[in-house]
Amino acid sequence: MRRKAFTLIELMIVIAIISIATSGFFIGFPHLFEDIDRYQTMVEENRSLTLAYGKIRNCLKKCKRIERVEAGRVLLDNDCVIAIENFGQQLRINGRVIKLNGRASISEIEHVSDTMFMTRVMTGGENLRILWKTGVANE
Amino acid sequence: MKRRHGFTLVEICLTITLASMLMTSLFVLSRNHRNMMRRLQNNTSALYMLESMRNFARFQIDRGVSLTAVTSNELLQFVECTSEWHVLVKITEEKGVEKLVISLARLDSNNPDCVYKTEVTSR
Repeated sequence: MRRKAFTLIELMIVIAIISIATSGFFIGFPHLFEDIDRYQTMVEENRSLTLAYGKIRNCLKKCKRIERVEAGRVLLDNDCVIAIENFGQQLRINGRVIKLNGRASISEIEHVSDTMFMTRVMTGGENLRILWKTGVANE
Repeated sequence: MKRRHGFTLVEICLTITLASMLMTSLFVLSRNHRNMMRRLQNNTSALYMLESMRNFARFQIDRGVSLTAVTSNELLQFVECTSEWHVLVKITEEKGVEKLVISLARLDSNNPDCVYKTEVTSR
């Protein structure tokens, strides 16, 4: 009579092959799954920072000089206001809120001159000192 | 004659080939993924750093400092970036107007992925 079930040896070989393949996958790609999560966070972080850059630059392009800098806010001559809120995790530019995701932050506004101010920008583990200038980019 | 139930050589070769192709594609995917993450990060950092360096150079020039006196070290120190970033400043002339060209690159493994550039014109 012909047997239709697997033998113990066959089953053991199949289990051994599956476990070798699985362990090989986890040893070979230990950070792959972590990376996917980190990548998602990083994409959001970078997208928000790029958006914030564009909004700040666009706002500065339209004005000539800085009226004053006070309590985390930059008041510009054309009534534009750039405000830093929530410990640098949120920007408010002319009333429009831009939330910075992940570890990204823009903080510590410092007045430099009539046309320039300075901030700290946290991007990907780097705490950069950024100098902003009114007017078009290379005026 | 008793029938043999083993795999043939062609079947084994085919299985090994498919398995190795799968593993290779996963390795390539993993490596590309990391490169993409690094490049994305570098792009954002460079966007802000170039803005800052350009404005710092402009600030110096407006104070009467000549283009030749603006050094790469000064620019790097101003933005306070990590030591992986490298800057090269070069002065060029176009139609009688001098330009300071600032090139920025991140050298993780001595091979920069991208070189980011900006320029500041003399008044």
